[in-house]
Amino acid sequence: MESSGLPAKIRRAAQLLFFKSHRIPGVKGWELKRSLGSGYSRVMKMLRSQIEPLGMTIKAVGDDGAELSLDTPEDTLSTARFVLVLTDPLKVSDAKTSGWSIDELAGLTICLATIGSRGDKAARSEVEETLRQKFPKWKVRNFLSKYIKWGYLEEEGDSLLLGWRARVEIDTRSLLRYVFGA
Amino acid sequence: MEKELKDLIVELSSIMRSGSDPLAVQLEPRLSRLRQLIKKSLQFKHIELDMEALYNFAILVYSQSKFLRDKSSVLYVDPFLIRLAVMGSSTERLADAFLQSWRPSTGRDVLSLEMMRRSYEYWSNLKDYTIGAEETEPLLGESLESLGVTYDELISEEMLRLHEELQNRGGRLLYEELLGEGSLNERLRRAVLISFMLSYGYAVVEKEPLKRRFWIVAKEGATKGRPTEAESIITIVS
Repeated sequence: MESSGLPAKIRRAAQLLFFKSHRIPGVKGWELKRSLGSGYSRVMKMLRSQIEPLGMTIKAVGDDGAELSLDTPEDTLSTARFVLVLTDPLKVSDAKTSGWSIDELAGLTICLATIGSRGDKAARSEVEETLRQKFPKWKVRNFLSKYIKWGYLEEEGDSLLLGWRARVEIDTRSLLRYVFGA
Repeated sequence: MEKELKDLIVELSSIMRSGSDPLAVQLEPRLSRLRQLIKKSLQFKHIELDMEALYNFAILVYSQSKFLRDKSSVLYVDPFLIRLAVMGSSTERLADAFLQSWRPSTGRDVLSLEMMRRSYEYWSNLKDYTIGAEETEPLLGESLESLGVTYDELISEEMLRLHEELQNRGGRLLYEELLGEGSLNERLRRAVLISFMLSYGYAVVEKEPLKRRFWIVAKEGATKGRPTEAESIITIVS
């Protein structure tokens, strides 16, 4: 990669990452390669160093939901999804400003903890039953359809799985730790 | 034989779909049964079904192995303990647990050429919708008066008549039913009267969010002459 074209490539990478062009945010490794050429992981690292002071970072997530380092060979990264995420936790007031209610946040915690404790897949009836410990029936149905629509959960027959968004945005292990510490 | 094999495949795949504990499934009797069935026929369609059943067995064994691996890991959390933790925590604390482990993705929606093409197609394919000239005419006049409604009328005879009608029809009607099926003009007039009736406490709204229905329920002992501002006029029924 020529150094002279690097600033332009960093700008192009920022455009690709910031502006959502698919239903699911982020850009696949092969899309970055097509637009930026070989050595795109180096461009990603440079962009990351520029946006980290602003409280954001670039996360590469493999097909199985595992986070990959930007130092991973580009062949492996080609199917990974590169997403911009915030680095610091949000406050309740920030989440409320973004349109979340406390009940929605708590409901999602219950779903993710239940599914996480079952090895990332749980019967829908079990998740509903656990939610019913805290919320009325009509709210439970409403919550589940929202979480599925937003990509935090996925349906597979009578089961619920972690969705792409949960895998990208949530550290399930620390969530379980916080649930027990809560 | 074919039916038995198909039943076995359905049974195995439904176990997988249900997400229940894979170790609770007794594999040995089912495998013995499959072994007997395989010996019975060498027809292609039966061998095909044998293979499918075996594939489902393999998936189930993999799930059992994964389940054991997860359970033996130091990070394994018993679902029962999770339920206890959830029951013992307030919604605020659960929300806080989520916020601590959540790093939301960021990004901006942008209008692409493809999206513009799709929206053009959508708008181009919409059916024309126009309101007849005679129906739109009254709307061009002076607000309520153009509908033949004056403020005095609203808080007196007309509204009371509508309240009486509601009571005579059982005291509880769907909003659309009370609105009636008259002309647009008539329905607009009744809609205005209903809203005043609600504001003045002659009726309340019951909302059924899941069915997206609104009921107008007549209320006795309304505060005649002034709106019941301090009281919510909407209740939600499950």
